[in-house]
Amino acid sequence: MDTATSVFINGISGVFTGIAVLYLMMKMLARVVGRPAPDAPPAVSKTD
Amino acid sequence: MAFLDQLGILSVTPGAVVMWVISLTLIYLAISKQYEPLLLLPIGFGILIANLPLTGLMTPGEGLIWRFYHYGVEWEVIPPLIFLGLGAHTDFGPLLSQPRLIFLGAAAQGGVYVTFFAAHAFGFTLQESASIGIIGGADGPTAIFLAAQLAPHLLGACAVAAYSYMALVPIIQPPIMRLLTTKEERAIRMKKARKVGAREKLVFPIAATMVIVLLVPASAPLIAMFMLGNLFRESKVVDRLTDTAQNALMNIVTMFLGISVGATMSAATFLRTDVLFIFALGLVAFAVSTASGVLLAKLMNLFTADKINPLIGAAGVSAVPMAARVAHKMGAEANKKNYLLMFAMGPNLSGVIGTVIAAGIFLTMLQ
Repeated sequence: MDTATSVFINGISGVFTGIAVLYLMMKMLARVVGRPAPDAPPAVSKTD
Repeated sequence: MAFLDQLGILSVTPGAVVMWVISLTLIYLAISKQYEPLLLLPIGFGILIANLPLTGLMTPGEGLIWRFYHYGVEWEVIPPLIFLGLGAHTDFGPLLSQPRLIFLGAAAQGGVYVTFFAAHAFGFTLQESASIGIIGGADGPTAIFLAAQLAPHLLGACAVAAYSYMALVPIIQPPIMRLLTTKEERAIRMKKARKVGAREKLVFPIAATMVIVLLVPASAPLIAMFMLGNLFRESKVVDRLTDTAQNALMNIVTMFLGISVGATMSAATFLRTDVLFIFALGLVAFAVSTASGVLLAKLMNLFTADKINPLIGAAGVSAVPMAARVAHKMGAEANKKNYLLMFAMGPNLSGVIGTVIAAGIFLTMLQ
């Protein structure tokens, strides 16, 4: 395969792979640390 | 007489005079039009002094500016330090609140690769083509970082093209965005994003560094410093370091970067036909990057009920935060109740990451 074509294909697929993995990582982060901490004080209602 | 032989004025060449004009034009644009003044002003002055004869400022091993350039740019010190400051300025909240928007930053790298291919077809080497293509990422420090390693003789042209087009984002992008979207699409109001907690923002720079560097190790100098700066900011325990990275350090390295890059642009290296090609191809890269971000947003809308305003796809080119502001302004023109700025910051930040990954892949394959 021509080197330029190889760089082109590897480049595009590499960028999308990297971004896709980051996407999965962010989704996981939101699940794992996006929730309030277990020892966090419960939210207080404004009417209390 | 020896003294007369050393008079600079006797050694002025027509090429040097043309470079003075280019230098003064950049200085004028920086001061009067405020086009990227932090960079174009020192770059313009760097061009001027590099084209004054017999100064020896860029003499390898001896010249003052050569030392700035050699130790700052060729040794890959200054661009990563700029990234440290950028990281300290960055709030990843808009991206973390809507992770799907990260793909728009990847799509906007389309211009980088299309232009890489086009440049190679025009006869540039693979290394030169990569340095030209990365202009489409609209990220000055990354363009400089890559060109310094792959095609140092094109560094000045690539840097000036990148910063010039970044300054012209409000002029270059809107016609392309209008051409590719309908008024109804531009008027789409996006659903309010969730609030991102402090813990999530704190863990992100650490996790992102590990993920990106494990995948593309060559991107480490830029991405590691970017995320370190962000970790300073989000940790909230090193305010002094955050402040220094954001302000003092950033300002110092910006001065040295600007003058060093400008000084690489001597008449002999800049006044060539291939430099005109670089500017033309850089514009193509920018336009294709803008278009590919918008088109991916439209494509994503075919598969999701929660619609994305395609204008924010254009913010996938880095140019933080100007590209996001342009998307916001156009969205507000189509629908006065539209407030796209925070949504557009997501692709804007992912564009920075995408460009660094693209540069890392070029380095891995071509260095």
